[in-house]
Amino acid sequence: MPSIVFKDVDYAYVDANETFEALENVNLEIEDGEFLCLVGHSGCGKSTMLSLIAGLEHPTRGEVLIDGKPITGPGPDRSIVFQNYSLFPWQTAVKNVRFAIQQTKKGASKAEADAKARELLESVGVGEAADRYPFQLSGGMRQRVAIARALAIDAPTMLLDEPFGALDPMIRRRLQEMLLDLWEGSCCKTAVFVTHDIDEALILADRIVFMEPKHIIKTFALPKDRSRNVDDLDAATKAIKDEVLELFEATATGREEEE
Amino acid sequence: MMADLAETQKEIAKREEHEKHERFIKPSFIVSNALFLLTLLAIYLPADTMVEIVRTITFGAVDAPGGTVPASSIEFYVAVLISWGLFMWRYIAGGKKRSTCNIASVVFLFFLIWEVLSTDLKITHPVLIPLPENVFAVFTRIPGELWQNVYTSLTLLAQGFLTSLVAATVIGLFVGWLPKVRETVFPIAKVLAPIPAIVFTPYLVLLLHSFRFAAIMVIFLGIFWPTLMNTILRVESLDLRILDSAKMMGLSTPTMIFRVLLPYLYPTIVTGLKVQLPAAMLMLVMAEMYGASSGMGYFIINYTNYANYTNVVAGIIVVGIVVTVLDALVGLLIRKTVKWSE
Repeated sequence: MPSIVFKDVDYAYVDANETFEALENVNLEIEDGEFLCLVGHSGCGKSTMLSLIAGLEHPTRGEVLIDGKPITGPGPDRSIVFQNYSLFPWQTAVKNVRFAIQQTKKGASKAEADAKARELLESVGVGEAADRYPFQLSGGMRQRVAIARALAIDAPTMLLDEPFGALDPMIRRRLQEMLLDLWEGSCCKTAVFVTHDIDEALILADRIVFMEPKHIIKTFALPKDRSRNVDDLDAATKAIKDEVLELFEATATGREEEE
Repeated sequence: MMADLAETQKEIAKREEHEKHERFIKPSFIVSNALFLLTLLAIYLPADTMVEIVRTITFGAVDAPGGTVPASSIEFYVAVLISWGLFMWRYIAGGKKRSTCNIASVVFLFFLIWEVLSTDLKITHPVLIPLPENVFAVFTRIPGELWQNVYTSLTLLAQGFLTSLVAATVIGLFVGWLPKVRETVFPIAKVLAPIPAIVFTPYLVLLLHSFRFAAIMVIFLGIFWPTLMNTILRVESLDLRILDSAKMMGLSTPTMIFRVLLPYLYPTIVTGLKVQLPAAMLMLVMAEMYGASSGMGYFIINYTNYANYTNVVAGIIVVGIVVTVLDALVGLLIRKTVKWSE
């Protein structure tokens, strides 16, 4: 059963009295428990898709449904991880996570929430930095805390907007593995992940959705039981990678001609 | 081998000890202490002796006239000793040792010159330049009057300052939050903010009939606009991702205000105090010079009118102490409560 549905969605925003069309007649169904990657050049509308699911933006036409009901605004049934800095800078790592727990699970005692927060930080590998403030953490550690906070909300849908975009490759690889483990361990969370890194998408996704400006061009289903090692892809996955790369190439030249 | 090691360690320890010693006693430290001792000596020496000494040095070129002799030097001794105590405390506990020494040197040099020229040599104007002994004696002569005036000033300051801070923060939050309102209010604030609130004083005193209310109003006006502008700008600059993350938790409006926006604004508010509290004090003291019947500004203007410059100088020193203490308290508040940065 599809959990998130885009139905004939248009989205336009107004900036300096000019209207920009970001999405045009987009249709997409995201299955329950699926790990979906939205891939494309920057400015293709993939982050907009995520904002629409989050309820931070509203479609100008059509509708976005979650479990059959239209999304009216942001809420704790979805959690979000942004690129870079979205932790509360005035709270330590553990307080950031604890705050998310206390706000979304009413009735949790402070001690319970604290224990749970520390456990979550431990599970993302920053247990020892629990009492540090975000400004005292490296970029990778901040993203780990941000993921812990998203997990703390314990929402059935997890939205990730290039969460590893600003990290160096080594740390990026490690966090991808961690995220995959957490996702597999959680079972049945729906994840929508925005990236422009094909390798990242190949490691993480069940399905890759390729976008050019305003439209979805093509979706690729990846074999469930594939090896998730980018250096050692099986033939089917390799073929998908080549095709996505070609699409990247094609949409890039298209963009240049437009300009 | 072991013995060698122990020996080397001992040597290192010794050298470190020596370095520590060297670092502790800086040349500037000696200078400040020398000036301190000289000041004590100058207070201690009877005026005649000092005049004799100067006559000898200058071959009789300086001829000191006779003048008043201070009744008591104890208060001045105490003031100098307190200054020295503060200096030693900052020197031992504080970080910037050299500048601590320099400040102390300036203070002791000032005391020394003042004492030598006025009490000892009597070459300064006997009315316009009061004797330091007499100035510091004011603190024990009329402590009640001084305290009463400080208390009045601080009460007015607190009332004007707090209402203004709360109003500006609340309105700033609201205005910063709504882009449409912000576009209207911000330009208005920008025009009104630079008008020195002090210019309203005489008019406000007339208009409001009550000096108390006028003074509070002046402080309010002086603090309100800059704080409002700061708050608006700060709310506006809140990272959208932080805000979106908060929204995704489905926070209620009170939680959003008290757990997200106010903690985010808090450092701006308290660091703003560092500038605005002395500014408010300035406006208040100025305001008190018009039409007040108590307060530090009144104390100073009143004794100026009676040509009692001993009390005037004492009053100026009190204002200096009050401002310094307030500033130190704000500094302490910032250090103890602002733990994060961006």
